[in-house]
Amino acid sequence: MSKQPEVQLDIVKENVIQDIINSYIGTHSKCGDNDIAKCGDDD
Amino acid sequence: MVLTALSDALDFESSNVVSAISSKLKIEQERANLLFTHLKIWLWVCSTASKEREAGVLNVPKAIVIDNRLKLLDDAWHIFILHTKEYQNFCNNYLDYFVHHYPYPSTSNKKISLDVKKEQLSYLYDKIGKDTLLFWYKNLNDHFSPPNAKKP
Repeated sequence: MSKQPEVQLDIVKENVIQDIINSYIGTHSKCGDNDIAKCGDDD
Repeated sequence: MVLTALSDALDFESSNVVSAISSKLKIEQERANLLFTHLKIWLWVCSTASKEREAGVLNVPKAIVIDNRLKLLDDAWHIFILHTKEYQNFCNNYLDYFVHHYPYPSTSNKKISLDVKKEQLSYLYDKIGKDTLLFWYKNLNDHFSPPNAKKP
């Protein structure tokens, strides 16, 4: 039985996000390091 | 809440800003134009997040943060801001929202958590899609770096 499209989309999205998070590991640009600027609430 | 379409934001053009990006970042005009397009997408996301946050929409990040993966977007943003009249025109007439830039001090030890990072990535995925998100976080700096500039 195939999964519902929405579930499949969520899995793709989760994999993409995890792929990006993993790409920080083992590099000089660790996740959360060297934040440079932002837009949004200024606090 | 009135959200602006991304296509409207992308309609904005400025040869002055593109030339400045090309000159200051030492990349060809065509590549500078592409970087400017990505900056417009970034600013559109920022404005959309701000509008949604103000309207009480759930799951909107408190801020959209640039880390060193997106440093070139920040570099291009600095150049765009220097053209105050054009930046104001873009924000007011193409985003319907003035996007402020808040730099982190170089001495700041503030680091965002993994959960906050994931929240931002999730929001960006929903707004700009998989391909642009992956390009920003995995290829942006390499793609626009002068010495090893790759063909699109």
